[in-house]
This record gives sequence, C-alpha cells and structure tokens, in this order.
Amino acid sequence: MTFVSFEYLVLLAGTFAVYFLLPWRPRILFLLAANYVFYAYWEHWYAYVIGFTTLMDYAMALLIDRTSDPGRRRIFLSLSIAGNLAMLGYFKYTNFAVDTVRMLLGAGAGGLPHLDVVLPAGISFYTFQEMSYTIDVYRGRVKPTRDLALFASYVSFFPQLVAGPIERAETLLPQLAAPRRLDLQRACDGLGLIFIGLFKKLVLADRLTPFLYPKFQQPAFFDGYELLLALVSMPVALYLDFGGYTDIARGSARLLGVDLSRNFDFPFTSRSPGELWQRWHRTLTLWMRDYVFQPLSGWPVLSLVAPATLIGLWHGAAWKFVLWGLGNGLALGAYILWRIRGPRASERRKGSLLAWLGTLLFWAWTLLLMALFFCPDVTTAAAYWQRLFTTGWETIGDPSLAALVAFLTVFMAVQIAGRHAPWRVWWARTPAGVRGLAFALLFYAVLFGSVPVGAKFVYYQF
Amino acid sequence: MRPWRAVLWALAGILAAELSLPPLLYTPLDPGQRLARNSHLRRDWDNYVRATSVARDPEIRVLLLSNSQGNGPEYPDRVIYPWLLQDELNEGRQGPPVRVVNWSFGPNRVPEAIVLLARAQDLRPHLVLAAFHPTWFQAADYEIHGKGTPLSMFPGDIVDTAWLYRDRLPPAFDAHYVRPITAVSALFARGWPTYRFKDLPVSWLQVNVPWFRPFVPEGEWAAWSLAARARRSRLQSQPIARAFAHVPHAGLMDMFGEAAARLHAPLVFVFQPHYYLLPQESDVPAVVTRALEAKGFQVWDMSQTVPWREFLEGQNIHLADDGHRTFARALAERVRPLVDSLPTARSPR
Repeated sequence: MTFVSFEYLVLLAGTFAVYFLLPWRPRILFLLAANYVFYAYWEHWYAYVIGFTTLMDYAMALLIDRTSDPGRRRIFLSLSIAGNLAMLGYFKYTNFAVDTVRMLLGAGAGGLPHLDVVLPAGISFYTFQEMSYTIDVYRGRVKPTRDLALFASYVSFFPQLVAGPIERAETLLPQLAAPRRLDLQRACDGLGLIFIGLFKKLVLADRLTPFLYPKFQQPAFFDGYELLLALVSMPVALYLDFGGYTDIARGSARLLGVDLSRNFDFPFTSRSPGELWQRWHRTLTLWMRDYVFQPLSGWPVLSLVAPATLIGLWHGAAWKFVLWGLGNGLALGAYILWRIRGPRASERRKGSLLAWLGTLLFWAWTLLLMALFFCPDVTTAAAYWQRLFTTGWETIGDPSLAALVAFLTVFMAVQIAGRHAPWRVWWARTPAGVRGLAFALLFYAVLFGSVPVGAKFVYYQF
Repeated sequence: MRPWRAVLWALAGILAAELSLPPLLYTPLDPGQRLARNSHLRRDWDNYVRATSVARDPEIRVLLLSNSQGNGPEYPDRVIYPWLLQDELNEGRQGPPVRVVNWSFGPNRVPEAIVLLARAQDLRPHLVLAAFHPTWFQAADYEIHGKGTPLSMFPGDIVDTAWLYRDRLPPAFDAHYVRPITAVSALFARGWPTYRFKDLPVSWLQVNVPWFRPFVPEGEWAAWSLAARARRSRLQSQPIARAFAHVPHAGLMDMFGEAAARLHAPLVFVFQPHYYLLPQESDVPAVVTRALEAKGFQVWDMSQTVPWREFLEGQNIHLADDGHRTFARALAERVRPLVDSLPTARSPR
C-alpha cells in the first residue's frame, strides 16, 4: 500500500490507536504484524523475502558476536553480505546482467533468457539496512539483539520500509526497544510532517511531473527552452516527491514515538558536489561513506568512483544509471582535486567570483547528468542534450512555462531561506494559535490542492 | 498544555472554514442558471440532474450524454464544446432558445448512461445526443469473469438511482443489474456518503459537505497551476489497435437503445473525436452503427473532426480549447437542421 492510499490511513490510524495501549512486548509483536501487513499488502510473497533475509541476518549477527575468532567472524559477515547481495542481485540485477551479456556477445548470446523477475518494493532499502547491522556488529559498534521480534521490527518498520530513510541499528533499535508513552507534542509534530509530505507530493510533485515527464520521453518534440526548464524542474519534482515521501515516513514514525533520520537538508542550496551529497538522500550517502568509501580509502580513485557508481546502480539496473553515478563520481573527484590542487582557500572563498563560477559549473554538470536519470535510456538522453543545445527557444513567454519559472523562483527562495534562517527555533517559539491555524491551512491546501489520484512515489521503484 | 492548545486552534480553524467556505465557494444549483455541468464537476450528479431537469418552456432541450470529453477537463465551462454548441445553435435563431443540457459523466460506463436516460424522462428532451467512443459498449460493464458486473462497482449515485427509478429502466437492465440491490443497499448508498462517493478520498469533511475540491472547475486551476496541461499536443498521433480489440457488447447496446427510445425524442449517437487513429480494418464502428440504427439512432462518425494538434498535450485524450471549438462548430452544423425541424412543444410525461 502506498502512503497516499486509504488503506495506509487505516493502517496508520489503527496502529497508532492500539500501539500505546499495549505493554512493551505485545506492542512489538503488534508493530511487527502491522509491518508485515503493510508489506504483504503489495504481494504476499514479499513477506517471505524480507522474512528470509531477516532470519539470516539475525542469525549471522549472533554468530559474529558469539565468536572472537577473526576468521570465523569474517566468514559470518561475508555470508550475511553475500546473502543480502544475492537477494538484491537476483531480484534487481539479473536481467540487467543478462542484457549486458547479450549486448556484449551479440548473436552468441541468443539462448540467454529474459527472466520474469518482479522486484519486491523497497528491497534496495532494507537489504542495505540489514547489511549495515551485521557490519556494525562485526565492527563492534552495535551489540546484536537476541530479540527476533525486535530485530524483525527494525528491518521491516513500516514507515520507512519501502523507501527509507535507511536507518542504522544504533539509532532505530534502541528507539523501538524503549517502552515509550504517548507524547502529544510528538504526535502533533508527526501529523504536521505527514501533511507537509502530502502537500509536497500531491499538490506540487504530482502536478509538476506529468507536465515535465513527456520532455524526457520524447525530447524531439520540444524546443531548447522547454528542455532546459524541464532539466531544472524535474530534479525539483523528484525532490518534492521523495522529500514528501520522507516527510510522511518521518511523520508516521513520530506518531509512534520514533524519530527517523532527515534525508534532505535544502539540497538545492548546495555549492559543491560534496555538499550536495551531504544534503540529498543523506542516509544513502552516509551508508556509502561508512560501508564503501571508508573500506576503500586506501585507493583514492576507487574510493570515489565506486560509491558514486554504486549509488547510480542502486537507483536502477540500467547503464544510464551507471553513467549517471559515474558522472557524479567524476564531479566529486574533480571537486576534491580542485580543493587540493586548485586555487588557495582565500581565492575561492565564499562569494568570490571563482566560487560562483565553480558553483555554476557544478550545477550545470549535475543538471545535465539528470537527463540520464529521467530519460528512458542513454540514446534518448543523448538526443535530449543534442536538442537542448541545437534548437531555438521559441517558447519563451509561454504562460505555462512562465508559471514554471515563477514556481522555481519561489522554490529556490524557500530553499535559501530554509538553509539560512533559524526556522526551527522560530517555529518552536510561535504561539500555539498560529501553529494550529497553520496546520488548518495546510490541511485545506492538501484537501483542495491535491491532484485527484496520487501517482506512485518515484523512489518506491528502487 | 501547549500541544492541546495548538490542536484546539487547528480544530477551530477547520471548524471556521467548514462553516464559512461552503457559502463562499459552493455554486448553488439554481435551475434558472445556465449550467454546462455540475459545480462539483462529475460528482453528485443526483443533485445536478434534479436541478437541470426542470423545464423552462418555451425552449428546445438537447440532452447531451458524454464522458469526460463533455466535461472538458482542464477548462472552465465557457470554452468546452457543450456550451459552445449551445451558443452556435442559438446564434441567429428565430424560434425558442436551445438549451444543451450537459449530463456528461466521468468514466466510460454504460450503466451510468442508462440510469441517466431513466432520469431524463423528467427532462423530456427534444433531442438526445450521445457522444462516445465506438468501443464504449465494453463487455466489462456487463460481466466480469462470467458473472454479472455488480452495480456496486459504480458510484453510489448509480446504485440508488437504479433502485429508485427501477420502473423506468429497461427490463433487461433491471434483470441484469438491479435485482441484487435491496432497499437496504439503496439506503446504505444514500445514508453513507463515503459509499456514495467511494471513488473519492475518504474524509468526513470531503464526503459530508459536497464542496470539496471540484468547487473550482479544473480549468480555473489550470489557469495558474503548474501542471499547465492546457496545451496543444505536439506528439503525432499513431494508429492504435489494442484499444479497438473490444467487441461491443450486444446486451449493453440493446439496453442503451431501449432506455433512449423511452424518451420519445430523436436520437443521435456521435462517435466523438479521438486522438488516436482508428485502424482501417476495425469493424467496431460498423457493428455499433448497425446495432444503434436498428434502435432508431442516427449514427454520426465525427471521430476525425478534430485534428490531433487540438488535443491536450501529454495526456492525448481530451480536447484542447480549440478542439472544443472545432468540434462544437462541426457538431452544430449537423445538429442545426435537426433542431430547426423539431416541434417546440413536448407532451408532459
């Protein structure tokens, strides 16, 4: 079930109504049942997949913890990682591999079948979460839990199961393990976050996306100005979609007394590739930093290229995502090189011409790469770039595009204000009446402004 | 204490809005008002039908049944073809004014049209225009997996109208659809709005006060919203075969024809403009034409009246504003002689 469905409303309201009434042990079992209902509602066999990986990682973590022999610990960790990657690989990358082999071998690979594999929703998220658990147990950062129901609830916690944020055991497990009482303030905050998420998703993202999507599907029918605006706006739409999802996830979790990580921190105000990845999908970036970048830190090139490429591949089993990830990795590498070998810090200080040019270049590169992300394949992305630079800009002045420019201006103003203003402090000091009325306003904005049927969240497919 | 205060303020704000918004935003259904469609768009046509059924003689009432095309998604009333058709028919007219009563509804469902035809007996139209796609009579509206399609799959309006107006429906419809409906289920449909509007998001506020989202026609939103879908298509239309694989269901065509015949008015079935090209080999239009002509309909193929550039960009289903103009003009050309030949008086029901 998606977050913008009646079924989810029932599940969340039902879970919230019962959750705090129960003592801790039945509460965890109840939460686990809710998690599995949420997940199995898509396809009942999804529950078997997540159940299997949960049991595997639960056992491996205990085995790692039980022995002090480094070799055996490494074997158990390898089994856990291999098991998770095998599941992910089978469901997500089998056909990608088959198609690649077929492409390389040409006629020689005629007998390779295209497998009918369905990707379980959210598998990319929860396998990463499980791997982080066993790795952290191996590293001694986390003590494994012996409580299977608690661990299974950590893996399958429904607010963040299908599209993150990717949580760590050290932050989520203690919250689930603590017997919390209902906190009305937190519940109100959670409700507010849910409505902010619904606003981002149903009012903004779902209105933007249908307008922009055709540009990436068939760029040949649009002129340069439209393609440029689409290139700038589609990442915004994606941010509103995924950010909206994350807000609903965090809000739902907060209703249940759990704080999830923030995934976005005004990413469009970033001034460099490094900063962008600290502000965009932060939990994935931090995961890559801790579990891919750091182990590879002895190999400077590999440590940069591998996480970026993996982030690309994580987003989808297609070469366009690999190239997109590589492109971002190159930008990151160039930026680090520039920091080390480039002008002195005084020359590239904030606000200098050089700093502005660098930011401009970084965003131009990042946005151009987004054509790879949104176009159906590399060939279409190439056509997009070609058309972007070779066709006229006849549509300047078109009212709908002017509205888009106006929206982007407001959006950027909100991003910049959000980054620099201490809005959390202001909000905390705002009188209760203003807060209450602001919520009522948001409620009506969602009620009236949302599109009739919300599209699926973009990040569910990963 | 503080969260409680914020919650109370939020509830107070919502309550104030609940009390003050409806009179401001909800268009009353005044029979004297020239309405092209319900102020709730396609929802709650029970109210709309009742308001527009009141005769204002002397006038010529043209009943228009269509699907979303007749609702003109993305546009305000004044630029969509039912309104423009009415303008065209009244231009330079000597006799009593022509009123196009637009009972276009949302989805492509035949039972919905049939129960509307039953309601139209109150309206006593001088002419009936039904504008649909040739593949409209789809078997899924009749049976699914070998069982009769339950009416409960349709909005609550259909369920209770079918029950309350069952004596006006063709016997075949009654036998096929209405029998499973009980007084309890009709009461259920009337009494529980979420059931009645079950295709809408469920919210007490939304379903109990019918001023929710569609109080502003979508066109008004489109004027400033970012979707900006009100643009001409620039993607060349392609022949499409799959959509025409449906064999029109004979039972549905019979019921529809019989329900329309009960209005005792000239009947016209228009193949409405569509973006995709019909494959030459498709015999669906011919099958539908034969069946409906046997029921007394004139069948006009106007499917290619509007060039593909005059459809909305992106969705490639609905007409853009110039498409509405083109179609209204073409339709008026064909309807005008019929209207001019109609007797003004209609006997009471």
